[in-house]
Amino acid sequence: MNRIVINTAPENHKRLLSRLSLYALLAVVFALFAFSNRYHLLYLEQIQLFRYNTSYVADFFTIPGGFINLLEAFIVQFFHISWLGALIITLLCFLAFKLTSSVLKKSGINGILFSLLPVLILTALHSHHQYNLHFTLGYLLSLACYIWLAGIPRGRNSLIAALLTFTLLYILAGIFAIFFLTLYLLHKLTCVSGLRRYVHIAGVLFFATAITYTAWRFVYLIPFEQFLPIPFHLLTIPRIKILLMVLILYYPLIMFMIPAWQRIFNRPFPDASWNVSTITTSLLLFIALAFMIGKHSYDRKSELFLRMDNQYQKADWNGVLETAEKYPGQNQLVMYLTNLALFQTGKLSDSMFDYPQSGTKGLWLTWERNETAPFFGGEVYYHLGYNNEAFRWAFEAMEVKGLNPRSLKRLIKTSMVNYDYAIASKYLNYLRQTLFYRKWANQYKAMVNDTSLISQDTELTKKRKLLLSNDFIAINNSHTIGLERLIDNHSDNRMAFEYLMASYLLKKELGSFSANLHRLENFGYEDIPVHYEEAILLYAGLTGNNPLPKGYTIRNTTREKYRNYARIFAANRHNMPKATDVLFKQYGNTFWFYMQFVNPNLNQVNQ
Amino acid sequence: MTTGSKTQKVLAGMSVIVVLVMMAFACGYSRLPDHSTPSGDAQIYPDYTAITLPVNIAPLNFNITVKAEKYLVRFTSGSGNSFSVKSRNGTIATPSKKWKWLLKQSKDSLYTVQIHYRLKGQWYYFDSIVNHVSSDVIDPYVAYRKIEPGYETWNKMGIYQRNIENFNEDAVIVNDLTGGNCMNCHSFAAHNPSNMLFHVRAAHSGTIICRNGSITKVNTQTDSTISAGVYPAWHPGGKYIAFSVNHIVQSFHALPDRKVEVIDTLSDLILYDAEQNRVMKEARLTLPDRYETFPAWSPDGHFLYYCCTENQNYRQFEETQYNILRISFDATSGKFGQTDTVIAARKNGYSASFPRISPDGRYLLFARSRYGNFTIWHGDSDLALLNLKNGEITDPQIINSRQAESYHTWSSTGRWVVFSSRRDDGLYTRLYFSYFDRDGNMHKPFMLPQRDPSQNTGLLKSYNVPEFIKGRISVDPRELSRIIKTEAQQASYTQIR
Repeated sequence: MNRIVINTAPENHKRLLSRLSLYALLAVVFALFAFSNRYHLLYLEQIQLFRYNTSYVADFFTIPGGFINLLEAFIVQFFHISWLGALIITLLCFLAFKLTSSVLKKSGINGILFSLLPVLILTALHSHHQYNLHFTLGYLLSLACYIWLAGIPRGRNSLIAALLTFTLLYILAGIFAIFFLTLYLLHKLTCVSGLRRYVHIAGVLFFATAITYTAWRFVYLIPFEQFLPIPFHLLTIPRIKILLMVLILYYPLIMFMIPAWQRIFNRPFPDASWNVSTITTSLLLFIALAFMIGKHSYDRKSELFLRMDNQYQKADWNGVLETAEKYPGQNQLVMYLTNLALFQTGKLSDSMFDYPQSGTKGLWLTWERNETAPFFGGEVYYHLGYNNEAFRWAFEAMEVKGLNPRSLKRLIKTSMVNYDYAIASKYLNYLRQTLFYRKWANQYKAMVNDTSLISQDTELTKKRKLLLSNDFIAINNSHTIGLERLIDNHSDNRMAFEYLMASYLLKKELGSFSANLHRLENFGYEDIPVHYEEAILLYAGLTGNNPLPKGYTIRNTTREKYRNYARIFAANRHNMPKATDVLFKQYGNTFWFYMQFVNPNLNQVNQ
Repeated sequence: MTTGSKTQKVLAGMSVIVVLVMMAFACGYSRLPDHSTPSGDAQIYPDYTAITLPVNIAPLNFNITVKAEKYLVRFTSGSGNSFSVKSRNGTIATPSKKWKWLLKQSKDSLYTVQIHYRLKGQWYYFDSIVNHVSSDVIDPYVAYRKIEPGYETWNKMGIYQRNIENFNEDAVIVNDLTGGNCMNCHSFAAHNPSNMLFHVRAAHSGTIICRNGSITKVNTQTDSTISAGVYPAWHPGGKYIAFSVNHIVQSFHALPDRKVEVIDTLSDLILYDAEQNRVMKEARLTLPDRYETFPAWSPDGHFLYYCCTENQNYRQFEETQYNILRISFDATSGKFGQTDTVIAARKNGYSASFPRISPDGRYLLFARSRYGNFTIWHGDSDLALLNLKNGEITDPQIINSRQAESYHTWSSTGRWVVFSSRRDDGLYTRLYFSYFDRDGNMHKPFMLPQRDPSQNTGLLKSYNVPEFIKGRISVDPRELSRIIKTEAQQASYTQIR
């Protein structure tokens, strides 16, 4: 095959330009992941648990391609430090660039443009929080194997090496072995002459089929329909599937196109090294791809939510509220974390309607057998002191997500609160086998070994004080979560009280709300919270009964606001769209507006 | 002396040492330390002390739980011969050949285990462990399901068979092969590995029945029954299978020492004819004012034992107490006869569940707890033994613990019992075996041995529904998975008159 080298600029200038372009692109990739995708990387680390344990490692090899899953778990543990995660992805992109250059050189293509395309596709793929790193690893491993094998001179050694590489790659990377095989066979077809190549190809194909069938029939316990595409059968997001297919098909396509071009046009393939036309093309291409990433891969809303979640885990309550304000639209998980943060900052009963609310689903999550509800849904129970439910939701999260540090930590703490030291110890042993959680686990292990140390841990001590003594049962998705029973167990459980009252307000059950106002005194409220005042005034206005508990007064400002609200409403009662608009602007953050205009079932303002 | 000769001497000396070390290893014999200080009872996990074990059990590997620099364990057979096992990490893994030799030498007598450990240069030893080896062999396989003891969700689960004469464990079926669905309630006809059934839930739901070399998938749900078959009991004749049909709800406790409550809101018993693929209902087993569940056949097949209680609002679950009843059965005609109460548990203030009759028909082993029938979630659940000849109920304290003991099975000889227990950590069930002697006494149970004893503490799965089988299940899991994905054959329905 002819090599295509056209010198349009001095070689050293070209090389410098190429390098600068590459480094600039890599710098952009790094910045993208270090700043715009930071929380998505941190989240990825939160849903895996790499352990330095031989039986854990051995388990990966029970399926073809288990090695790349293992490698993924190993690498993702370093996403614990987000900039390190960004650096790793950048390095993988760089590796993709180098390997692609090498592959293309074997097909006679020089220049960096064609090698940069996979970098962009990889960037787009990694920008999606549901994309798994093991796809990238399988792809890179296959390319590396192909480059190595294509360098082996023809002959028996080459055939044996191909067969061994296929077998090994199938064990290590599953279906990516087929990708490797495709590249290898195309290389044989296009770069090697003579009839023996067909014998070689037929031999390799026969062996590959035999090895795959034997592995399915006798080695692995995997259904046949999953066996062939493994790990591609895990791809469920169409945009990821398409992008990954583009990345994989790019190589065989270009390897096929070059000889076809040369044969059809009887001239060398156009040069792809730097010149005015390639720079212009590249710029346009990059802009198009950047747009594609922004539009289809990068999910700003998810990133904002994951940022909130990260702030929540650090107990940065004000940070959670600040991020909530930036979140566009309504999201149940955002409401849920916002309400938790509002309570922690003492603002729930005064300011909850400053944020979007939609019934009780913003207070606690509905039980669903999916990956989201159990993972996030147990938090409210932990804060409420409903320890068994916090344990249960964390346990379910571990079931649906697999072992992960977050659920394990919750299981450990709730077990310790429940005096279940044997269980806590079991889970602690898992965290002690990790790199980033060993220290944390050792600290708690010391408490398990010497339980008197628990009294020095304020968090556990506080939770133990809320341990229940009167039993009651929870049934999934009943309309309450036992808040009254929590208060019955501990009359000082302020969070249970505020959540109970918030639930009545959000369900618009003013009768139940009023019936519980007497508890204010027990909890030591000096003033009535603003939203309670709003509800009291409304209830009194609607029923003629004043539920105001003895010893409390309503602020004049609230009374004035109520009168003004009623006046505006009365003035616009025949023009409800206008009433809604005006009242929303002035009183959208009041219970009155929520009561009158927000339909929690519709998630929108009633007209 | 020349340097060369010095080197030769050093090499020669080293060779002698190497040969001696190799010989010591080859003989498996190490000298016990001359000076060793007693340090009380043996601290090992699992607790393999003062137990009776079958002559054909796998090595009882254990961990010494005292941290030390070096460990030396001497096993001495009943005939006085011994060998030693050394360890640096406290894990004592006895080589299989030596273990078999030890048990053979100690058959119907005792063997002793002397544990020495070195700490800060000083040797210590525990009191010797003395175990009894019974010549009563145990069934070579036990089948169980491994699953996370979850609440509502599950991830990976499977039914496995474990050769208890060694450490080999094979999957009978795993849900990786069948779309991740739930599978449960495996059961065998008279410990026969060829006659097996289990249910598949969710996607591909149905009951898989392996019988006389053929495998079928059936749907036992009919318009006239509460549900598809749930808890099974295979008649020893192999033709009939009794199932409970239940409507079950799960709820979750708030107190620290309680977790899950599994409650029947409806339940009956049905009889399934595996030859005719026919579900039959008997009026006395489907009484509208009673819940009937957990069927179990007597080994001669003449009686069907089951749990029964009056139906009531499920919210009063703590007042629901089950009696154990039995109904006579004629396998030739397929007809039931008279019912009678075997254990009047409710009258005595407790609930009885999971009746299991010993192969000689003399004893009934059951789970006893304050209320309910799903006793694995009841910490107070203990195993109790009813002598069917004299009606005496005993509480074999030696096999019970403060945590739940529940699902239990007799071996085919009736000399061994396997049961699941939460005694280790209160959540993850492990299997325990107990010898049942000819005088009707249970012996101290021991945990299912593992190649790596720390597997018992590390594994985040429960072993449940242990069933002894007399041999290996030979069906290929891939073949089972193929059949699971086929359409279930609908069972017909008949009312027994």
